[in-house]
Amino acid sequence: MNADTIDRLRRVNPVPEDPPAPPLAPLLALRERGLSDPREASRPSAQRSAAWPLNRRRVLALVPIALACALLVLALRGGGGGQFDVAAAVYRAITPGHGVRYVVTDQESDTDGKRTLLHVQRWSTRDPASERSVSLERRNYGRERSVLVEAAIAPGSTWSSWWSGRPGVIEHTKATGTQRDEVAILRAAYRAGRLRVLEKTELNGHSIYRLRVVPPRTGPAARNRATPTDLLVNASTFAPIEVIDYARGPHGRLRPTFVLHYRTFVELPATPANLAHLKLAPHPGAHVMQRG
Amino acid sequence: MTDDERFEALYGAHAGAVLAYARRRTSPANADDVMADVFLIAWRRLADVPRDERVWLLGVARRVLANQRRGHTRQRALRERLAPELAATSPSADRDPRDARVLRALAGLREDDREALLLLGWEELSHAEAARVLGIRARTFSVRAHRARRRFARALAALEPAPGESSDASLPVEVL
Repeated sequence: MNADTIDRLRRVNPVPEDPPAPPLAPLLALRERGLSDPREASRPSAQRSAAWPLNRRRVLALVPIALACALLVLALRGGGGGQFDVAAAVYRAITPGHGVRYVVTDQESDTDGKRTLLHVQRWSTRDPASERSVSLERRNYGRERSVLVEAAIAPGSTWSSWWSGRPGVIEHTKATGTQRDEVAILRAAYRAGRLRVLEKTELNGHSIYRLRVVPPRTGPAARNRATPTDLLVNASTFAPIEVIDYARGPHGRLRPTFVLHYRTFVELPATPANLAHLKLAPHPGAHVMQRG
Repeated sequence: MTDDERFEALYGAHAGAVLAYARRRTSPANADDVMADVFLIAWRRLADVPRDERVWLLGVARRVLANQRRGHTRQRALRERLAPELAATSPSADRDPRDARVLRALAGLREDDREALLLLGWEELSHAEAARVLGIRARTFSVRAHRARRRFARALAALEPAPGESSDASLPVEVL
């Protein structure tokens, strides 16, 4: 290869220098999840045993004892204390695995006395990136009005969407954006060290943790006095329960403006039945219209 | 050195290179996930990591990315990803129409041709190292790189403005 070609390629290198290594802590948290990866578990145990160094097997043999000791310490401290990294556990819980993530949310907003309820069911996979969502929106404009929207993305190609206002049409549009991931911002905040645990408390009789996404201290968000976002998670599973956004009121006090309730947040096994949820449901009589 | 110490040393030495490799080929958000996947695999296979750690890790990163794209219409996905993102992240591409043409020519190549060129031009690997990333023999890689360079030059020439024709600086890269 001649130098000219290399030089021309170098000139368009979008990342000319290696970026600094991100903090290792999130990866160590993920590593624990990696060890319990179902694909790893499906390997023959003899093969895994042979591949693993002896000292790691010894460490694993001590894990149950270590866990028992940790639980004992927690019990003696009254629970919730100690060095357990709640934010890391939340990060693990909201990081997609190899199955089908199924999330059901309810969002309620009230603007100028007009109430809107948005109920969303969403199935998604990370590999390949695909998703389907079904949204039911109820608006109160003097009379109740409901809109059902269904949308699905085939990996790397086309968005298909259908809505109840125009039931005879399935629109196909070129997928230019990336997959939505409602908790990506929380993962990014954790990686940036901006996901803080505020307290362990109770909500409707259930034990929860309240965490806060702290706005960055520098950059445009800091200059615009960005407001924090709170996240409530189940204290046992660390799955999200609520996300609360705030606005600044008089005297700079925070007031909640938007609450997203997570009714379900689970990862289902990637069985054919679960994967079938990623395809747009049949809409008899509807014809496909290409847009864009 | 314990496994944990070795893993941390591996991460400290090569996380930046793996992240850069991923960012050159996918969105920044996804690159973080790719890097995490690579090092989780490295942890599970710590005993298998050879002395040539960086090359081995880049080979893993390549396979992680390939797995992610499985089922995609590969060429189209890469075109979509390469053209606008590179145009957006490479300031020189906005200024210099010749660089925009380089990106367009790259985006139009077959994936194995493009990867061969990028391993040399962006990752700055030797032929032997690039061959190990791709899991092929060095001699095979050299032939592939030679052909890729020829196809790249041909694609580039096809995008050059004809004599007397005005510069195509205003032609958006997104037309790919």
